[in-house]
Amino acid sequence: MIPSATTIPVQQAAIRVRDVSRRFENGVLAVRSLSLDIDAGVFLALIGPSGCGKSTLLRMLAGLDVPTAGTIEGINREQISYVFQDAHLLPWRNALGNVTLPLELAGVTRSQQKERATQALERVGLADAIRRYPAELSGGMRMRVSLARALVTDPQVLLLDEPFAALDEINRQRLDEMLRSLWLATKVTVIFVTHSIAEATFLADRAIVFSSRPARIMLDSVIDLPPERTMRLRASPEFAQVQGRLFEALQRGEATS
Amino acid sequence: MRRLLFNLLPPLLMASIVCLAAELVVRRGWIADYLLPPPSQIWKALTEAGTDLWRGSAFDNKIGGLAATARNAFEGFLASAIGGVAIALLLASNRWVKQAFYPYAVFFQTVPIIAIAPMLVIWCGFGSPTVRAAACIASIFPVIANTYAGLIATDPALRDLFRLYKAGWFSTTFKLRLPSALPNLFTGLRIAAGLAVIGAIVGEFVGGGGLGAVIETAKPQLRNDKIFAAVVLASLLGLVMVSLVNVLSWFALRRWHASERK
Amino acid sequence: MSKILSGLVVSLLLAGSAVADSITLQLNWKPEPQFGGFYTGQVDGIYQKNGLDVRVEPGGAGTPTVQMVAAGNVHYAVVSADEVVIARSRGIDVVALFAVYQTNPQGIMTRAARGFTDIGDIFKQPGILAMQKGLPYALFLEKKYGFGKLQIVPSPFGDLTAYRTRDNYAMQCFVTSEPLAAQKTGVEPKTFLIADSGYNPYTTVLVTTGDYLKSHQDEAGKIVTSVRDAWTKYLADPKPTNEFMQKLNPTMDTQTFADSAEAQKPLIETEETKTNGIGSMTMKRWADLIDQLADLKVIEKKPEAKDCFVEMKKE
Repeated sequence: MIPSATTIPVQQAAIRVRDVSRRFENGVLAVRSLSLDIDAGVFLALIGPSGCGKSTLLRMLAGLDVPTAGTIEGINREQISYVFQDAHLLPWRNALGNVTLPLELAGVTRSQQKERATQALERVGLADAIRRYPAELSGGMRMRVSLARALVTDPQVLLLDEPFAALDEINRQRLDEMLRSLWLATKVTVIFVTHSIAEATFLADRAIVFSSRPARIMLDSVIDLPPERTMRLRASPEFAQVQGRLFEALQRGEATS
Repeated sequence: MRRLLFNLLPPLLMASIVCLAAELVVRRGWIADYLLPPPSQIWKALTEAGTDLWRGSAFDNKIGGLAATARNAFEGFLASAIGGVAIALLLASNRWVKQAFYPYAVFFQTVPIIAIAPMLVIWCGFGSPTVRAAACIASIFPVIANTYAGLIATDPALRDLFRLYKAGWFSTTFKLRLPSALPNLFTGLRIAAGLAVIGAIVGEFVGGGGLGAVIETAKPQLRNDKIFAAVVLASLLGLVMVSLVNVLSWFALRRWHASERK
Repeated sequence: MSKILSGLVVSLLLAGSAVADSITLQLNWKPEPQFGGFYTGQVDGIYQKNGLDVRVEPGGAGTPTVQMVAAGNVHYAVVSADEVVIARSRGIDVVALFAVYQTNPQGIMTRAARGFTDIGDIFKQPGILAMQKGLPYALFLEKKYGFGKLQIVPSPFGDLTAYRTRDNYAMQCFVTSEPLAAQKTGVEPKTFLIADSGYNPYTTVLVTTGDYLKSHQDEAGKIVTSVRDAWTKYLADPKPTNEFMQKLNPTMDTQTFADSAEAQKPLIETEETKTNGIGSMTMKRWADLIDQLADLKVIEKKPEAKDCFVEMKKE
């Protein structure tokens, strides 16, 4: 019983999640019999209350966790990047060293490493800070290094787990804007977990709202806003309308649990 | 430079006061000098012509005194640093290994060296090898325990990150787990540096050589001034070794760890 | 003031060995036959009979008996004659009252299989000698024989592990103690007395301070009399005292107590003691010892031989 306000456009699905369940060792059922198709190149936001199982779904997509039942297909794990809540940088390496890390582990040559990492840091606006250590960077800058680290491998799929949750509102909106424009430039498939409706509305082209644990889909909707998103958009009636719809679904999801 | 001076002032002042007080109570005859040798006597013992405190011949008829103790304590310390990290890595490699071996690692902490000393002499031989072994045994546990604590406390998100990028054992160990255990490792090394000196001197009581032999020789002759002089040298040696670790720690951690950032 | 502070320091060092109203006699090793007579005085009530309340305190490796008696922590203590001379040369006023061993029981134990016939032989061959190097007798041996071919290693203080495992190993010993244990290991020992080399200080010497002696003449006289009687009794029948000491020192077995008590007899009873009494000392031997220690540069200032001891002849 999926209450669809809009119809989902039928395209070639890249990632197919079929009847996936995940029960933890302590007996808690985080995800129950979930099915989902994700198109290539989409910016998808997964919204739900805290602890509803959306992060578990993301970890299963990344291969960091394994479903107890069901299958996940169409995701090339060599070609993904993952951004954690908080930056999680290696504190003993400077910004450049942190961004070269994935390339090092992949065996890319040293000169290539430096070149690509520098480019990635430039893309997130940190060209001036490449020699600085995490302890010498602000929270927002650290998160940008973390994004650069995720982008440096040119992934096909970028998975983000509430990446900006710990930042203040201004920094958060700035990073949202940056992420959106990076996506527009690369058209990488983005799966973005958040519990902020405003953030999901601003960033995504498709949003899925989950119920409380175990996660069920309350709403799966295309967000029909212009591709170029700016600060001004946040104040528009269209923005408010989408937010309202998502909010209503989120409330229903919490009530039915 | 000014900061250095400022940091050195309190301990130097303290030392001067203690020395003056000790000198005074002995000169005044309040405490007999065979119970508390005054600093002037200790200084005389340290600077005595032909003294074996610094590098004179000792039990093994080779180099002795501070030079021998310093060398053996340092080598024992080095062995416990390398061995301790290796053992900690082994313990952290999986649960089963840890449960099987950890109780025996505690052995190093509790073993009374003086009790196993005769065996140590048989296994290692007289002189330096026994001394090095004693220094190592006395100092290895803090390295194991602290490094292990650091290794198992690796940020789980970072471990996930390494898993995502398919990092092997070597990369995970040397690019993630060991560096993230560095602050703990240095804590362990700081404790171990002092213990290595104590271990070395206890080792010298049974194995011969070094300051331990000087102390043993001075005892039956009631040369308490010389015993105290040896103790002063041993303390200085400990201080130098701990400082060495501090300098290393500063270089390694200053850019990223709270303990070494101003 | 000085007594109080000094006492305080030693008390701190020794973590409070309390000085009660009774008279304390501090030994420098565990209860063994070498102290038998001191315990007989207690077991047979000889001290009590002479109106003395004496507590005999056992010691251990490194018990600083000279310092303890000098600081007034204990009233009487057991030291060796060379310690008395060294202490006096450093201005520490200790005085010998009674010497248990006329012949120094310290020796060097080797394996019998090495075939040595004289103490000097030990120094002619390469090998290992375990000996506390700062001991005056070690310096004496070094001066007399030289350590050229020997590796000198620290004393294992009675531990026989190295003796059992290395055939070129020799060690310092009490001839009344380690050789008996060595025999039981099945490796036949051969023991040489240090005294045979010409260095023979009185050993297991009862001392007190000159100060204390001055103010307790009568008590000291009674102590010496009691101790002499007690030692005479012990030498005649060591068994009851041995049983008592074994309770305090259970690691040593009954047979070893008996053997050791028997072995030490000729070192305590000599021609001299037959006339002068057990424990008596002579000026000549003290003077010789002082000369030897000065010769070895163990002491700088020579104390007077007559100050080192108080002769309390048999009445």
